[in-house]
Amino acid sequence: MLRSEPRLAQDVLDELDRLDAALHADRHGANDVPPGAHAGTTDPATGLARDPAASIGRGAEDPDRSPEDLDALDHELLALAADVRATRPAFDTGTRMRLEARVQEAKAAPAPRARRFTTDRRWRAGLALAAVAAVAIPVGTVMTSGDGGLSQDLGGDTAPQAMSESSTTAAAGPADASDSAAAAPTDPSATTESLGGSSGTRSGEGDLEKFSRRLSPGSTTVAPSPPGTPTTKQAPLGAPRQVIRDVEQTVRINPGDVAKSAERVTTIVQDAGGYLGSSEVRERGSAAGGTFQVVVPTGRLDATVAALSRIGRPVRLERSSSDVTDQATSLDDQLKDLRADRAAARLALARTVDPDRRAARRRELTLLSSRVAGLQGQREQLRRQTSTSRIDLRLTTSKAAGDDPAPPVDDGSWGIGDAWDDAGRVLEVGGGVVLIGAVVLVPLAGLLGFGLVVRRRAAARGRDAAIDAT
Amino acid sequence: MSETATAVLPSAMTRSPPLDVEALWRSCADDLHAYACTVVRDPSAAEEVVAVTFERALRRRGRFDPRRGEPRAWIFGIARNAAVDELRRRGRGAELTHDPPDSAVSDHADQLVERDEAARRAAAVARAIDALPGRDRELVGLKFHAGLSNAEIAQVLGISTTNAGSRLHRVLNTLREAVRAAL
Repeated sequence: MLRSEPRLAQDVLDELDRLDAALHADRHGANDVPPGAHAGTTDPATGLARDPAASIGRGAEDPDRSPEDLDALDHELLALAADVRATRPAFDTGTRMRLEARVQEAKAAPAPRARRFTTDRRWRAGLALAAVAAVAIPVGTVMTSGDGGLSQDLGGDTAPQAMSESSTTAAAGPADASDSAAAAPTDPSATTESLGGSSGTRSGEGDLEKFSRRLSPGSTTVAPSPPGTPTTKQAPLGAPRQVIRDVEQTVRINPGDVAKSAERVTTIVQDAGGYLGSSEVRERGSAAGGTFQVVVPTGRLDATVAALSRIGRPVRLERSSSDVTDQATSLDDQLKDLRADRAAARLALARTVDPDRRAARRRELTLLSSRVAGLQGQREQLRRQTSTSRIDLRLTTSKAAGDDPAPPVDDGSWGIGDAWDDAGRVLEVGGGVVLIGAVVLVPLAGLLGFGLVVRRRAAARGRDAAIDAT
Repeated sequence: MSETATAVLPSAMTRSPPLDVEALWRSCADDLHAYACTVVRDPSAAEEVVAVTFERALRRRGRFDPRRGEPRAWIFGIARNAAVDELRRRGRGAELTHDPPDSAVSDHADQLVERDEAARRAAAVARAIDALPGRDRELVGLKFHAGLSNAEIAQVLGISTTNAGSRLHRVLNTLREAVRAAL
């Protein structure tokens, strides 16, 4: 009992004690009655209850009780106890023999095979399944939405499209108007990842690093081109994606290491199979350092960025990417159509005899050839832009205000730091699961306990009702 | 406070697990029978209750936990449930349909020769017991006929010892009033 029981009044306790004494006295008196006869104080001759005085007298024969003790007992209570005991049903020989036969049958019967699933076990199994579902469903929902949220967070980090536009245009070099119009990705869906400048938190940059790992060349989708552009056709979803990737990187070096660092840049770029588009190095002065425009195959971009970061202390890293698959697909289609038109124009020219009409067809053919050449140029430029990536590298020796130390660039290897990050993440998720489980299970356990209490009380009331009905 | 000593259990049972169900049952079979008769008020039903009590006790002997109570209270608890099942099975409050002639017990209700005060008193007590509600009559069976202590009664009924004592005291007063009214 959780609360203290109200005690009985002293007179009630005393009377119960006297009742126990009276029953004890009656039983001791009944010990002299032969077996099979009515236990208690019944006279076998008359079938009537014996005189309680006689019971008391027989009780007086009890060597443990003195006559004075017996006189102290409640005479009325003694009599009442004797009378009630006299109503005790008999346990006759016939009943005893029949019960003995049942006992022997029960002992001889084989033990029933324990049911695999008793009612209680079914209860427990059902409860266990419900608990597992109650934990798995919210955890699964949270983790699924967490992945979606991750990508949405990254989407929120988009830099203005001018970033990707400027880098792409710069990398293209001298270009005509049509080239720049076609090459400059105008889709607002270009995403930019920033490290160091925008976020100093390790976890956020870890997420961005994971995202950058996913941007392997030629195979990933960064963002689709906006639909509805008249000259742009959407490429099928299963088509390999063509992405222009650019990086802006700043690395801090010691003032005396400018020349050595510049040499390392050259070596790294050559090892990656790329080239320096441009470079400028200042070995002395307050603005000592260098700027480089590096062009490497897109497949070597991440490794090259990581290698360049190790020249000194990376302080800034910005990545931008632009999916131009739709433009490429559109260009291919336009080229195909133009070539078909040109072939038809050649055929028509060959069949034309009239000089005036031949001149017209010749002009038409020239125009078509010119358009084909133009589109081929655009297509080739796109191909160059997607097969190579550009890194605008700046080596600086001065510590600018607001420079935050950037985290190490992920070069794809897995080390102790990554292990710590992963372990922390696992603990975080595990703790979240335990918390969610507790939030779900504790009320369930409370409800179950309440249900069990209600069920037990209902069963007890049912039993009492069945007995009261007799 | 002294408690009435109940039937002496075989010494092998007082300390040693596992529970010797057969010895326990044999030591209190007559008390079980008296209790069952008082509750179901039908000798044949009472006999069935006592037999079923043994069968169930034999099946459940592994579940007995001495920390939770006395063996006698445990087996009387099984008997109580068996009595309830028997009552439900029969679907009626079993009236005393047939009381086989018992040379040791006279028919207190009708054929008692009211010769003296003892006879009148005994008849009044018998009538009062018959008139008790089922649960109070059950208390009479447990305390007076089976000789259980208040603590054992509380364990059988699933109530507190104080509650058991209180109800017993109320039954005692009822019977006492009936006797006084008859005299």
